[in-house]
Amino acid sequence: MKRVGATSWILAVATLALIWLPLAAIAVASFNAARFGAEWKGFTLGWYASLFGHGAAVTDRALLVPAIRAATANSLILAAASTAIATALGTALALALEAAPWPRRLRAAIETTMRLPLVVPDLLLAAALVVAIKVLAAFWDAAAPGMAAMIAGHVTFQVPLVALVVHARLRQIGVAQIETARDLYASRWFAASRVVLPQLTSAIVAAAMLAAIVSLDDFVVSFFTASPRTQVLPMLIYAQAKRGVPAEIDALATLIVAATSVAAVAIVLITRPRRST
Amino acid sequence: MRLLIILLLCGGVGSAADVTVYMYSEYIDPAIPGEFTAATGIGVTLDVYEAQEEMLAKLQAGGLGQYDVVVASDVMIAQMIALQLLAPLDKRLIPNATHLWTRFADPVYDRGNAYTLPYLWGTIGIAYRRDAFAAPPTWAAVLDPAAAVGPFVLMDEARSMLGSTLVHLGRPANSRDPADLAAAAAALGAAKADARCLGFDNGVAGLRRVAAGEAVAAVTYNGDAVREQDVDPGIGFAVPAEGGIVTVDNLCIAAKAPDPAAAHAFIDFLYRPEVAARNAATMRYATPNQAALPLIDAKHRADPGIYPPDEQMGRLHVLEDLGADTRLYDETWARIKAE
Amino acid sequence: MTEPAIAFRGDLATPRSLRARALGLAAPALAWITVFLIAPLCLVLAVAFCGRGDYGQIEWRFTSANLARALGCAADGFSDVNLRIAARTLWLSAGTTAICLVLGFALSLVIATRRPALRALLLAAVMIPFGTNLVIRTYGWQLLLAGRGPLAPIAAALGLSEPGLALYPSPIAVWVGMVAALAPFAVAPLYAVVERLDWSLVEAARDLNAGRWRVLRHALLPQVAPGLTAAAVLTFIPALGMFVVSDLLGGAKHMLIGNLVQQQLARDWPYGAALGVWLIVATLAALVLARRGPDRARA
Repeated sequence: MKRVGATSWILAVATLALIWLPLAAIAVASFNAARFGAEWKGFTLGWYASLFGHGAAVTDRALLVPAIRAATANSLILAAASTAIATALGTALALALEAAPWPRRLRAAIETTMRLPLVVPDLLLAAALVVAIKVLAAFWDAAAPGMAAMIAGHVTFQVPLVALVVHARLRQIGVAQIETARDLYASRWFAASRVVLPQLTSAIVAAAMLAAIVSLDDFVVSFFTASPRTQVLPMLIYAQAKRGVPAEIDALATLIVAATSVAAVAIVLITRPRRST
Repeated sequence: MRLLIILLLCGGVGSAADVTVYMYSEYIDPAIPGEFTAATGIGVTLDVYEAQEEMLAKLQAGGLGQYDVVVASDVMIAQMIALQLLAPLDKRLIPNATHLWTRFADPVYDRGNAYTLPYLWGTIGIAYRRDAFAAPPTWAAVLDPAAAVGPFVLMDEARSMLGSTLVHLGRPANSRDPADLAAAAAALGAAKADARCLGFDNGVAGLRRVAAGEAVAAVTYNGDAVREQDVDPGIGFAVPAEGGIVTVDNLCIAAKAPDPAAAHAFIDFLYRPEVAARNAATMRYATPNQAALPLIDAKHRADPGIYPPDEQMGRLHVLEDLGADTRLYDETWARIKAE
Repeated sequence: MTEPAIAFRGDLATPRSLRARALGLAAPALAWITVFLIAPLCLVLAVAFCGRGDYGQIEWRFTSANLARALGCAADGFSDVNLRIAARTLWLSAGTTAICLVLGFALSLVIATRRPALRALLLAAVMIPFGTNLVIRTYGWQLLLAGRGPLAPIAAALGLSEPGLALYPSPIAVWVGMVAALAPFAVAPLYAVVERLDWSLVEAARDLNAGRWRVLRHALLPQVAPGLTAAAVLTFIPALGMFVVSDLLGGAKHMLIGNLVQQQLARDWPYGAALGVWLIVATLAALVLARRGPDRARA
């Protein structure tokens, strides 16, 4: 019987509380009628209404909702573009690792390069990109912060994630199936597309969703590489948090958490271990 | 806060004329960008910063080709000109520039207004809760732990905060003497170490904490504080008796502005007397536009929080560019923030 | 000498041609990482050795002054501020990593010993905050720790603070914020090993009347050691570069290396780059230690 001690229970509950309390506080605040501050002043759905354009245009809020819309659009565009590129590159990389007999050293080199963006603090990634842009800007006018720079940064840390997820599934599928298919005179293309790819699809989808979430969540890289027109949601929330947050941001954050919950449940469902075919 | 006119969704940034403006947060009447677009057909993208150093860093980090109009404080102008971050103004495209108040014309930092035109001017002082202070506070309320009455917030802007501290210590606000700066560093360090110091924050954030009742004093710009006063009469604003900093914020055009014509048009629009008057009145800052003055509500003209009386002006200091000695302030500030 | 063909994955081909084909698949991803991470990091190294202009611009002449200044040897004498920041960052990162390992391990144990349905639910419950961006999660702590928030009266009642005083900015706020931010990073690798635990060893130890600590040390820990190392690395290194938590909850009173880099990066390029170089060194050191540590323990 697997028993877990009381200490573990207490710590586990404490951990869950620690990671959920802030989100709960924001959710509560999003219904708080107070303009600023944490004091409860009554229940209201007004902030959500304001987000969708039905709020009273108070002077300091008049520019907020359009800014939120723009930031949401930018976040989605950035996530879509970077996820598409990263999924393609990462899947190719994962396949490449299993597509040839790599000598030990070369394989280690590839895997280290692949893992590099994950073991570097994202501040360094961002700082490196910013310095590179600054240096390049001296001779190349197009080198500037903006969507291109953001995509470059995002794909860099998404590729290892995609590659790791897809590669893990590839290892699970195993060589035996491919060898069997080839023994039965299947062409290389058939073996790849009809045997491997269908089983890989769920992993690729999960990897893409993971990459998208990571891109939508990213703050540090975006913060350093964005241009005035490409502000994304985390940057907007940070700027507001530094100024004294209007309650619309609480409503926005709660909606984001709700959306993330749906995505998380989706990922867990997709990557549920299935009976092997 | 940004205003991105739906140009992006209408199929292409840059297909319509657009002016990108970079200024302090909450520093323009929200109606004005829309009015400008209605009047000229040019869209407005507004980007904001919280501190002058942030603005300078952003321009140097590659933002130069992304902004058209930049609002910069007087203290930054000489530096920005030296760093070739600004383009000269073509006065022929700004006919309304003649409305400039002569008192602000031909400033030390930009002879002949070659690169800049003043936008709004104001002071740095202390926003406070009236119920916590019997009389308007002096700088000691935020800089002297012994005299602090409750939680306070310092301003996260290097020259502004250091300058105010130097004034409090009776030293020149633009001192080049390392000993003066060391004294300022010591004072700020002591204030920061006090348990009641809620840290360094931009003016608006500090003000919000005072408004929320979490702090009793915060170093802020006058306009932000006066606007908050209208909503919450329990808040007061004062430039301390020892003196303070007066700043003139200027409209400039970035050296690699994507659309200089639109930039000039925007500046000209802001200099229309009725626009300037409305902007200044709504934001509760003082206007350097002479023709606008008579158009401003007498109530605002008489408010000492917005238009300091002459006798107070004598105690207000202007921050100057210090050339090579700027690094002294940079290093002192870095050290204060880092402790 | 031509290579003999080999049978590989059902194919008959020379290793070289197989590798060539595979390299074509791998090249785009590897090239991307090289161009957008490795090359820029080299540029950071280069800029760190550059001279500083009056206003912080890059001047292309060689000097080691910035790296020295990053360690505290400024033009006007030695100052230990940066070293203290580094020490504070290392202490905070190591401390929060240790706490996260303990918490993550406990949580993984509890999750792994539930019924499958509940397990999936709990995993989702951990993943959701993980998938919410750090700014939102940290800002939530501002609400919780505000002077008029829910936790301030409790702290005042416990005598830890005065009534009405906000609990942030403060060192405690930063620690709590960091642990809350990093905990999900630790849970994933730990859960991966805990899920595959051989419980029979644990039961055997219990049957032999071993006390709780012994069970932990001899039956559990050796099995989860690789997960612990992975979790430690995945938590410590991001912690080194964090600045959002100390920015929002520390109020510029508790500067970390991350804050320093963020501040200086565009104001004084060579100095900011020099700080970045030391951060790279710290990251490399952590990685090397992580690789050597378990080996040495086994020896």
